[in-house]
Amino acid sequence: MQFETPMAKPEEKRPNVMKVIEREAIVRADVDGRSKLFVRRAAPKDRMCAGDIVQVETINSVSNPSLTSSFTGVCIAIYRRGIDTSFILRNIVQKVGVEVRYMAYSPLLKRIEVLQKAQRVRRAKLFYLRENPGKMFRQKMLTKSAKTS
Amino acid sequence: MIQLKSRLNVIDNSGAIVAECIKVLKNARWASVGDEIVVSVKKARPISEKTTNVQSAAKLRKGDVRRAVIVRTKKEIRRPDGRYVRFDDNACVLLNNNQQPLGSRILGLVSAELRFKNWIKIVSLAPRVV
Repeated sequence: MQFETPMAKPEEKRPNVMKVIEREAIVRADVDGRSKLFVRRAAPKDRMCAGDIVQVETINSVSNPSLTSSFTGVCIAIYRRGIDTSFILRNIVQKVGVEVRYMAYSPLLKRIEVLQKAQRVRRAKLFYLRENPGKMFRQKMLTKSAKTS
Repeated sequence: MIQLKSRLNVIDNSGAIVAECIKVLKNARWASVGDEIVVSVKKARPISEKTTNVQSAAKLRKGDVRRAVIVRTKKEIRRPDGRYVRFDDNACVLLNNNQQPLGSRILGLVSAELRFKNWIKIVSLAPRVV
């Protein structure tokens, strides 16, 4: 995908090359509109927040894109770094905690779906859930999706 | 990042519960999922007094030295697509000298890295692979 004019905002008289490259890269990678989930200044109901229950479907093999595996978990951290945006999902599978860090704009990530929004979370990074899980991992959405995936 | 003196949970039914790494069997300091290590059993399931001497000689005791393959690590492992996977503990499965699992069942989750490192028997025995 080629851009004839660099993606600069009208107020940028001499646009920063790296910012332009980042913006264009995100537009190229944003096939299904997932960049809306990672906009910092959106309302909490429109973007992905720490504490949401998220289901991610990944393509296992490039030669056979219909083979997918899915993982559901509580989002405990989001690292907003432009094209390198990533997020960590945590779930307890067979009594063992598993954390997976996904690169948001990877073409192997078929679908990111927020199943349930966070409630009563007052932090951006929920690493305290590793020691104090509370009732966070007993929620219905997590166990329901675990049975189907 | 399992090295000398690292303790791992044993997740098969061989009788051992906790094992300590005493040697990493590759020319490196650390071992990760799918690497073979030599372990010493630190905690084992008690052997009942009813078994005869011959039977109990085959069961694992504290202090036995065996080989093992690492199946879960607390240190995150990078997958080729940029994903990182991390588990809450370090776990291993004990092996015999022919690289076959000692136990007949695996109780718990294993990492999918084992498939790429050709530990197919363990992947097939495991109840869940992530």
